Amino acid sequence: MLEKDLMQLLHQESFLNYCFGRNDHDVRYWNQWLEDHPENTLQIEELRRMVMMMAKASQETLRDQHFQELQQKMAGAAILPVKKRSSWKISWAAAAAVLIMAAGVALFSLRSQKPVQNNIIAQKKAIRPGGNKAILTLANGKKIILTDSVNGQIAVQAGIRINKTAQGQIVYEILGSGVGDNAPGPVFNTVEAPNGGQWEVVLPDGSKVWLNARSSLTYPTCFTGNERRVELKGEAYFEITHNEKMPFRVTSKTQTVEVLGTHFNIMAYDNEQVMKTTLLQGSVRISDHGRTRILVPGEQAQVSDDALKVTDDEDIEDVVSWKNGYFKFNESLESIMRKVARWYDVDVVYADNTEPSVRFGGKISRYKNLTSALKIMELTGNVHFKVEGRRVTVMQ
Amino acid sequence: MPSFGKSGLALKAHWDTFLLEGDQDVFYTLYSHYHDYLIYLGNLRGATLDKSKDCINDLFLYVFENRSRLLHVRNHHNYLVTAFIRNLFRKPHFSAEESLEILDLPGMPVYPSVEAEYIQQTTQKEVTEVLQAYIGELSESQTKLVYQKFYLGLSYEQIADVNNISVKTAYNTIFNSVSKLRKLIGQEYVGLVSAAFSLFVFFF
Repeated sequence: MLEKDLMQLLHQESFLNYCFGRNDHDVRYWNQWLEDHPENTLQIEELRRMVMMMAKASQETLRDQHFQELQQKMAGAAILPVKKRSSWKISWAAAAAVLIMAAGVALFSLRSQKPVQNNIIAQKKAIRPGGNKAILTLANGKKIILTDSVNGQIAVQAGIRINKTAQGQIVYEILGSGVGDNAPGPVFNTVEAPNGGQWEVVLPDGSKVWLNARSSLTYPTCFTGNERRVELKGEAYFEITHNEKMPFRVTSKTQTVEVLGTHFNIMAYDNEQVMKTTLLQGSVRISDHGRTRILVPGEQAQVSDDALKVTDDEDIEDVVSWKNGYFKFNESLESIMRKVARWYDVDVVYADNTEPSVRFGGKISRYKNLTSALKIMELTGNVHFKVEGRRVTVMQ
Repeated sequence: MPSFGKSGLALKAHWDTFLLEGDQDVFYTLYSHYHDYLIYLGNLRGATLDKSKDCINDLFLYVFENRSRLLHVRNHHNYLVTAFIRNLFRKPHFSAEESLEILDLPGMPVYPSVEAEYIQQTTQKEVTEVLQAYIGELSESQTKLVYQKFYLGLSYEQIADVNNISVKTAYNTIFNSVSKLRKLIGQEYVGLVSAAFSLFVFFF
């Protein structure tokens, strides 16, 4: 079939009805036509898929644009430069933006109606946000790649069955009575969320840990003895089940956080100078280089090389925003861009005369494409970006 | 024909949850559904896509800010549709006749159909991603027409009417949008698609 004739089909309502299955009569007609002209099957099927995907893609693009406009109305503005505290409505707006992606839908690069300050180089393939992915390393060194597509039992080791649920959790299940036998010693597993990844782990005691990008957690597959000890690199949010007899201890770099049962977030990336532990519920004890502090809910411990400081004026919501699916900024550009780099797996460089310490406040969904996220920041007029490959240049 | 718009009635639990808890997920679900349905209704009544969009956003902004005052609304579907149409034509009240008419509005041709879902699933992820990356290359007006033609299922005549263009222009815009994407994607797409559904074809 000639290309010209094929494309003429777009003018026929009956053909489009066939494509979208909107009219039984037309569907029958075109199926019959294909039976009579089997040589055209591939071309027709290709065109049919094309228009169906275009339907969905155009709908998602417009809906997302329109919803974004609504959010701006609700929030006043999507992101406000150098604002100490954003109102809860802004937080709402951004959180809602997250949901745009919830259906597993790809967000296309946001096209402004008129290209104003369009400094981001149009990319043919958008840099997509991170997602649920991680690598599980078993005690024997075997590595299992975890994605949303793998479900059910993924391994059995030392009397423990490791399952992955459809929601993406890894769950440890102790097999048999567990008494007697040759009682194996604790076996350690590591879950690592790479750049552009995040993961939720359910520990053998039912505690939940959400790992942020470029972070890993090492833990025994079965807690024994008088403590529950795990090791964290990077950032994670913990919801620890209560067990007075077995305190839960998290070590990261030089710091140990001890809890009985509570909710808290630890950020201890190698490339961040300050380790931050933020308590949402319960109580935790922080130890570092022999210094010890106990936190009450709402407090944050900031550990750097020479000090352990406790503050209570951090916005808790900012701290756990990553877990809830958005970036909430109230910090320096440099710090924001480190988060962006980890989540989108990109390198960030600064053009000459750029001041990385300038502060920004606001919220952006973590599920936007990189370009869309950067465009929102550009709306402040205080910063511009250039994207080439996986490299982002920051300009002012 | 199954109707998409009426299925909004199934969102009652979402409406109630939103009114009581202000839940963000359900607000978005409601928005997503009514966004398409109300634009469809607006288009049928001659309102442009942008005008409908403004009314939809005003309506949802109102719902968002006044949820505690809307607890008495038991039929969210009629409420949203009526409020939307009232805004659209700036009519504070409807006659009894008009109210009845609103309760009997047409449903939208369904999308995605079961088969559409099937196609999405059996089309390789790469193909979908390539296409999604390129759809952004269409102009604003092309995207709108593609949405009205392919997603909302409006006829070329309806599209011409509502956008105040000729049927021929409507044709050509759709034609050009499809060819533009086909060209942009070119061999990359053809290769991927043939690979993706060579298996599928055997089922015919």
